[in-house]
Amino acid sequence: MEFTPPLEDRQPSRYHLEFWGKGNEYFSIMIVNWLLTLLTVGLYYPWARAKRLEYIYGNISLDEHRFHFSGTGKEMFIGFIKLIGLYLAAMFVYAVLRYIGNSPLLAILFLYAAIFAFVPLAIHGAFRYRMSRLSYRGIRFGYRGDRNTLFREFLKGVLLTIVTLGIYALWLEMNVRRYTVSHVRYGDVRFSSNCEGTEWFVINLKGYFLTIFTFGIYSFWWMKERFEYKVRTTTLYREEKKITCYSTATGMDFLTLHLVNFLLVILTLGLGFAWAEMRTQKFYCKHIQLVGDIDTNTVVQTEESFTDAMGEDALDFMDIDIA
Amino acid sequence: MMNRQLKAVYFDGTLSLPHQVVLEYGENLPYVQFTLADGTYHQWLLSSLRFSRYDHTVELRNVNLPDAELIVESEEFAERFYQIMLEHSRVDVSTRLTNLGVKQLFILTLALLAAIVLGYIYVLPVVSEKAVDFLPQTIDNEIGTLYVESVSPTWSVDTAKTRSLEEFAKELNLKNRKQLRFVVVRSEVVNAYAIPNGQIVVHTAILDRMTHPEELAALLGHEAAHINHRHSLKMLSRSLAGYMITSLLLGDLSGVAAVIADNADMIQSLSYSRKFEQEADEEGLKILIENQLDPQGMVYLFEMLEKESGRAIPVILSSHPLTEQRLNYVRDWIENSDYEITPNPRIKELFAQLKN
Repeated sequence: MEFTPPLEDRQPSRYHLEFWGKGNEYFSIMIVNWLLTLLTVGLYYPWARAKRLEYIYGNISLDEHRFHFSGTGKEMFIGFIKLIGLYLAAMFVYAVLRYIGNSPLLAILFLYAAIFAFVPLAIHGAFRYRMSRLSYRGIRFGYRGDRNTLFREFLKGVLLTIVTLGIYALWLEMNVRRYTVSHVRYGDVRFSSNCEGTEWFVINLKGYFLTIFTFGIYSFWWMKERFEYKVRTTTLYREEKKITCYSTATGMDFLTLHLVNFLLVILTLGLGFAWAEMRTQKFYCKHIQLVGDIDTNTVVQTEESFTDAMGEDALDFMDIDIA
Repeated sequence: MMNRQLKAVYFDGTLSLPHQVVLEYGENLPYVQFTLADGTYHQWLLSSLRFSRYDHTVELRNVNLPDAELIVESEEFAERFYQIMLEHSRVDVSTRLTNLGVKQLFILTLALLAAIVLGYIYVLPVVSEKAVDFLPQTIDNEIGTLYVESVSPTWSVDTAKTRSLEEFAKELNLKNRKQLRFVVVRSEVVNAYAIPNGQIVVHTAILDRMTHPEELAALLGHEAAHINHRHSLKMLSRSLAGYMITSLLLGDLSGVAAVIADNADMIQSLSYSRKFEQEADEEGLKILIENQLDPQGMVYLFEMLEKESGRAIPVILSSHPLTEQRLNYVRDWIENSDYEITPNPRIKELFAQLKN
């Protein structure tokens, strides 16, 4: 474990992260979401999403105080409408190039370019929206990343990934993570990540081969390494004070989590998904340890309010996980 | 009646420091109120409150002070305040439903599922069939033409017999609402089928096995009925509607559920097609009688096909499932009908040409 203990002259304290969500409550929420989505022929979906996120964030507590997600279905619905507009616009350009301009190659190239350009914009949008709607003790989170910088970083990464036949994707992943995490704010507390591609590459290379050699058994230890790396490279700063993060999850913990979840879902013909998801959230909260000397009573509101939910829907649309 | 007081924690939305306050609320009070240590008085109207409940923890937020939050830890308050918010219609449908509890929700879900299944079995076929009435005939033609274009290159057309079949059909009134076209295809497969654009395809093998001209008339009547009643389009409409419903229902569920749904849909459409077969049989019989031909032709046709199925299952049976039930239905129908038979030498002659 590469966790640096805090300096002796500071008063280090432990921050207690806990997840309170219960399977039966979450199941009720998901069933109601499903019912209402069905009755509204799908239109309820953004509201359903808001309910789900509100429940999950609202059940994470740090030192007895809960987080709060205040995003609304209406905001996400508008985001969704914008997304459809964007999609139609792209399809229109594609059709013009393809059928009026009569150049299928150009049309396909445009489509690829549009998708690649869209991903970083969606990540940016989703971070902006999600963080702006997340708060703790009345203080908002925020994302201050610059869209153009992320865009350039991403584009460079995609080109290098193509040139290196995919290997650079691991560096791209870490570069995006480092950039985004390092631009998250909680009031005047600054998040920071020093994750980087080479270490990530080593972890994944080792994990990949050992998983093959052990017929898949190592995959849980691989998960553990990946989780641990992401957690321990994340630090929170406030002036000269900081909070460091580390993971206490072992490979065996991951194995148990996934094995039990698997049985839970299979034996209930899928109905156990709600309990499985709650177990997973609990697992993460339980195994992330926070130690440091930032006083959580004196955090000051700094982030401006922000309203645009397009990225939120886009990420969902493309199934990219920002957690 | 009396107002109640209890301890709460207040965050002002500018600093993360918790403030201990005493919250006052009451059943008849349209607001909650509290005073901070520095003397600042807050009165939050119920109409501008947002309420989140997690077990015995209640979080109150004020839409006019979006960052501030008031946190109360009390089981009793959680219950009482929920009732107050209910009375003031400040609880959304989703929260109300969620609060019904797992058991009630489960029952509700089962009831809804049952309604959907019943609708799927009884309402969907009727509605999707009716929907076809609003579609123009050009759609049948386009679908049919598309199909013909894709399969006709493999046809080995017998032009002489095709001409005889056209003549044969001309002798009959098939009650067709659109121009029918006929083609005889050389094939060892015992088969005949109708395409929605009015094309009726008859294989030489099925002609070879027929013994009466009335059998052919019955076959043509049956196939013409499929076209007249737009059975293909109705099937298509029904499967599309079925597909839409199942994908909406199971959109978020696993692949396994989707596979089950797909198969359920197929079984459903199979029995549905049986209904169409019966309709076409009946129409075929009516056409025979209309043309003063012996309706027994339909029985001969079925008997021939049944004998054929003893050897190997002819393709025609897989698309037009032949059951004992169908044959009995035809026999009963004939028994209960009045009809007159007039010998028709012309069709006999043409039938002979088709047979050689």
